[in-house]
Amino acid sequence: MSRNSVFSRLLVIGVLLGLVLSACAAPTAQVGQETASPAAEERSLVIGLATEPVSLDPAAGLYIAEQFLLMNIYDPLIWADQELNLHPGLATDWSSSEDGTEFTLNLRQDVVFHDGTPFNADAVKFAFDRALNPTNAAATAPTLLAGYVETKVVDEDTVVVRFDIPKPTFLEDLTRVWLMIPSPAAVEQWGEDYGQHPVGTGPFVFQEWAAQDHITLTRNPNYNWGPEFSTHSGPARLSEITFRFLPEAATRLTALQSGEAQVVEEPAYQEAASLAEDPAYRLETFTAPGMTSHMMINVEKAPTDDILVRQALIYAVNQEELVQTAFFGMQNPAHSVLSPTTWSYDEQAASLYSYDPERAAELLDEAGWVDSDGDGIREKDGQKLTIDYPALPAYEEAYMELLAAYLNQAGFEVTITRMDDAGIYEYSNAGNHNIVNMGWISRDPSVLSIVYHSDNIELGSAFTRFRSEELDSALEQAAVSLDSAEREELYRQAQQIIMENALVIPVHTYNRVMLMQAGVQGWRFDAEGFPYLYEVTLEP
Amino acid sequence: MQPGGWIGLCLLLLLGGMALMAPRLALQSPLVVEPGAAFTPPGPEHWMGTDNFGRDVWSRFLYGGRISLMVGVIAMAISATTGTLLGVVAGYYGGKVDSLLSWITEVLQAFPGILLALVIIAILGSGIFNVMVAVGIASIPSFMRLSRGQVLRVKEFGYIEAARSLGASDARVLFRHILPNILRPLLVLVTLGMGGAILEGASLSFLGLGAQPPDPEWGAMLSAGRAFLSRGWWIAVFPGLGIFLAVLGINLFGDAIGDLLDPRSQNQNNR
Repeated sequence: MSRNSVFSRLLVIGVLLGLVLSACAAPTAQVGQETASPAAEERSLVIGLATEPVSLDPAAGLYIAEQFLLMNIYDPLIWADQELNLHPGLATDWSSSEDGTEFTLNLRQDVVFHDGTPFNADAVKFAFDRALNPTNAAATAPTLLAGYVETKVVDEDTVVVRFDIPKPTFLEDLTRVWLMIPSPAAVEQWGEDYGQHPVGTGPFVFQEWAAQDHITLTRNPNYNWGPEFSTHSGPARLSEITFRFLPEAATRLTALQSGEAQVVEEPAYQEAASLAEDPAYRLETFTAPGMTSHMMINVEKAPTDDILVRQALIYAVNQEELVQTAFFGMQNPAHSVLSPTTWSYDEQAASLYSYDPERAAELLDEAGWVDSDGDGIREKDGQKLTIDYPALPAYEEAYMELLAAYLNQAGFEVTITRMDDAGIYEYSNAGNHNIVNMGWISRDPSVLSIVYHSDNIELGSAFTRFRSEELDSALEQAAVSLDSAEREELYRQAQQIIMENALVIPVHTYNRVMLMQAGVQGWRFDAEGFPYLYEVTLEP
Repeated sequence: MQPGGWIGLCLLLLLGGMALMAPRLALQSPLVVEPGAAFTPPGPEHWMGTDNFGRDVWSRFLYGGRISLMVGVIAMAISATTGTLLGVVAGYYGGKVDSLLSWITEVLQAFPGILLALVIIAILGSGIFNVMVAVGIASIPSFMRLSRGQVLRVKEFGYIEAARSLGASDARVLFRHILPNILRPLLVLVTLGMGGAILEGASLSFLGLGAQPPDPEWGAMLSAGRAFLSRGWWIAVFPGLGIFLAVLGINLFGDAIGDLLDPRSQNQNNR
């Protein structure tokens, strides 16, 4: 190793230290530019997002970043309001056959795409036919269309969609962005590049996409087919929206403070918490439905094969304090495997455990684990009470050491090993862990099957390795039942079985956190936590 | 020795002493969390403040220094012994052994040290012990090259030939006559290399590949603290300062030693 290279590295460290110090001063230095921000009369909004979409083709869309934009460029055939009730969208009314395999939709006649071509039955058929074979293998649309046979164009304004299996949730699925309707003319014009040149019927028209920088949408002046539950009708209130891609949380916060952006998602939590107290800013949060972020406990590996030890693990963790410390209160404490905003959430399962270190100590004593040598770690038969914890820093960095500290206080020795996604999967699938993190945002509790049905132990992600016919059959029946009261009861049962057997340490809910200038008005989240930007306005 | 050398030595003694005395100097266990006391600025109760979980940064700084400095020492021990042994063997025996060893060295040297260390970590898995091994292995080529060159120079000297003609075994010639005569440049390389090794170890921990949480290590502390710069600058700045001072101290000292042992330098009379 040459001397020069050592010195150049030393220089790098010095420069880093300099940056570190200057970063402390940066936000205040830029506040002065606020007056230079775009005039409010234009009502143009800049939103700082953490991730950039891959494609704005609904049929190729994957996840959050896409969903955020798609719902502004396109319209669904049916709208869902915040409580998931159905309202007319591009379809004015609909009916389904008794066996749940045929759906007749009557379409609006006054709708035109952004490129001027008319929206009609052919466009719907075109959209579904192509969504079945998307350009992206991981896209959501084909799953929603499982069993699709054809779309029959009855006349200009009527289609019949046919499946070869009953589709109890098809009408609800039509409210999702992945089945929104693109312009057939534009798809044919752009071919494989359509995802970069989206054309829909929505309240905003795609204008420009500068890769790794921004996407700009402008108001659709012809828009007159907004959802009936909206706070207004006609064109959107904003004239322009720019989505800027700012991967660093600190950069997003600085952009908000400097007036470069009026809204940012997932800002750095500790600064966001203090900014939220400033009347110039407002915080909007949404607790996502689906699974909470929780630790799955391996019931096959010692010492967590003992239910007393598993219960002690849950009692040892103070979720209320954890979310305050690790997330500055921006996430909510969780006490069950499902989040409270999920349909069929069971209060009873969630009330089984709360922080109680004494109870944890009693349970461990009862299980025979005592600290005989006074080092703070409990032992039994010469074995230390050790918990193997593979962690994925991307999700767990904020709290993993704190979680380990709570367990440590109860007498556990916790070995954290940082791994990447693939490493964690391999490690946990082989059953080497005692605890491993899991979570899944979803509108429906059916995601429980993916990680709690025992069929998924060997090849899937059922990392608790818990085998119970009762749980399996509850999950299986709930998935196929057409009776929603029965489904609800089965999912409640599943939550109770999971919590009674102490299979998870609940940690926190997944909250979508958006920080904005107080002048951003009319902010509402839909049922999945995406804002109706159509209603948003910007007051000076 | 130049004044810089003395400053470097003092820094090293100070940091090394602090690391050795960590259990006595620490105010509390480096692992104890106290969420209610998170982000306490430096003060009489917490000399370097507390971090985001309310842990005492001073205690973590001391224990972290132990690990970070240890990476430098152990990595250099690994690379200096292995590299020198290989270099001496290659230089002394020459021929096919030399060609093979030199070829391997050149291949290894084609990669920057940190990249090589990353590859080794990828094979061994993360962890602070593996980081020591990886950084050590990554620095073997420099020692191997240097010692090989030195042996080539020294082995032509008359006293080696004399020893050989007196019937000394290869081992005796190598360890009694050659090794002592090539130690000086190696010593300089060890000193300077240690600074680099501490930096590389801290870099790997910064990336999350070294010390595993919640164990303190300067690089890992710096990495964790950078998220909280505006709220608690002390969380990142003190471990950063630790790395900075340790590497600065070692380099000042190493430079001074190098000058002191350089035969061409004026205050030397060993010819």
